[in-house]
Amino acid sequence: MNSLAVERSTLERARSAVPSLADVIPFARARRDAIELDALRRADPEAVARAYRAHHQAVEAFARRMLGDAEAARDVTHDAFVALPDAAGRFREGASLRTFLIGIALNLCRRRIRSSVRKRRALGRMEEREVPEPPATPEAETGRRRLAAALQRGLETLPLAQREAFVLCAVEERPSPEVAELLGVPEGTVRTRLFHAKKKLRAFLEAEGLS
Amino acid sequence: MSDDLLERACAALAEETTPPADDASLARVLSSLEARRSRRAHRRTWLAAAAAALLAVAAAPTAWAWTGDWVRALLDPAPAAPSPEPAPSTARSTRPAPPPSIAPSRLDESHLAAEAPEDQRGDPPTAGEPPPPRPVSAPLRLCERRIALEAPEEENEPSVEGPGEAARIERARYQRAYQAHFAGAPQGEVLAAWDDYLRAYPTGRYAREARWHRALTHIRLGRLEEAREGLRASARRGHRAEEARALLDAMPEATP
Repeated sequence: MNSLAVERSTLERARSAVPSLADVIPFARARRDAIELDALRRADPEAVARAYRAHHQAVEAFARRMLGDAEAARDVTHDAFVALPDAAGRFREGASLRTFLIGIALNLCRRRIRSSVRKRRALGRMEEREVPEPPATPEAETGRRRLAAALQRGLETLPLAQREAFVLCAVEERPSPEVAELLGVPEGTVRTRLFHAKKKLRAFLEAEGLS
Repeated sequence: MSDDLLERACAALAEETTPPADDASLARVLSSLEARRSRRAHRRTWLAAAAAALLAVAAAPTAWAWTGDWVRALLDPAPAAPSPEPAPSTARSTRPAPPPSIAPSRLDESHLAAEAPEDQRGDPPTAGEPPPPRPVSAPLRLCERRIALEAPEEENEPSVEGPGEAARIERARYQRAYQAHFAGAPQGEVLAAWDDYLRAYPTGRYAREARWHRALTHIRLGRLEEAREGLRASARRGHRAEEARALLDAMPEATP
């Protein structure tokens, strides 16, 4: 072996000894997440603010889809971030903080929906629930909004479990393993719930005269 | 109906319900967290205070007992010499010893059998009383001894009256006479002391007992008429009536 070949092989060995960026990034992220999580557990205002800026839109959107009420969704988002420092103890290393926050919001939404169902039952079936009509806008915009409003109304007719599965899988387009973990049920159950939800919603939209 | 409509509806819903980035709610979140932190700190303070209060309540009897013993030890130093008096009963063994200044007299107002029932005065005799300074008749000696032996028993009785200044002065004067009576002072001085007390407190708290002792002193001095008069008065009033009658019987008949 000539000297050039020796130098080349030495250089290759040296290169292989140095970890690549792709190898290092996960460790760096894990380390950063651990530090961030620790700050969140201490309810460090800066850490909470960072988490809020990064995830509050996703959390609020999910809550709004689940509840169909922008004001209630804002309240759920607020409550989810206030509960985050206490809940951070249950956060698993390597999990997504956004998914974790969605999980908190999901529980808050469930509580609200059950409470509102109870209230609705208590108030009785004396009066028909008024469904707000979408405002009149240019045609395309109107069509989109009407569709969204109709779907939102349709979601409210679904059982809670099916609504959760549909919002997470169909609206938010989350993979079914993640949804299964969030809901704490097997993936098959998620798919079944999604199937029934879609069937009911199709029927609902048809009944609404949308095609 | 195809899935297309549902997909469009989902996309429309996703678009409609995605909120704009909003930092205004962040301030609300941070202030809620701060409020919760201060509430928790407040609760912790309250809990600590409550725990301290409970501890204090639980430890109070012990602390009070320690303090009481300490204060009693400060106020009532132990007598320099062991008292010749018999040891107090077991039930009262925890009580502090009386101050040396009043030890000879073994005196307390409750001792002054004016109010004491007859049956409580017949305690078993014990040794240690100094003998009378001059020979007297047997019944008189018996009475004297009995009176003297009553003192240790009655001395430890709790005071009924509050430590008022007047009561304290009266007691001090009676104590002086009583001390003279039992400490072997000349009988003239003893009589003067009893007269002194009875002049100052003719209806005093210890007057009946003082008259009884004065009658005994009269006997010692040979002033039998005065003694007889005093003993009869005692018998009439029911104060040491039996003893008074025994003494009257033992005394020589009055000369006409």
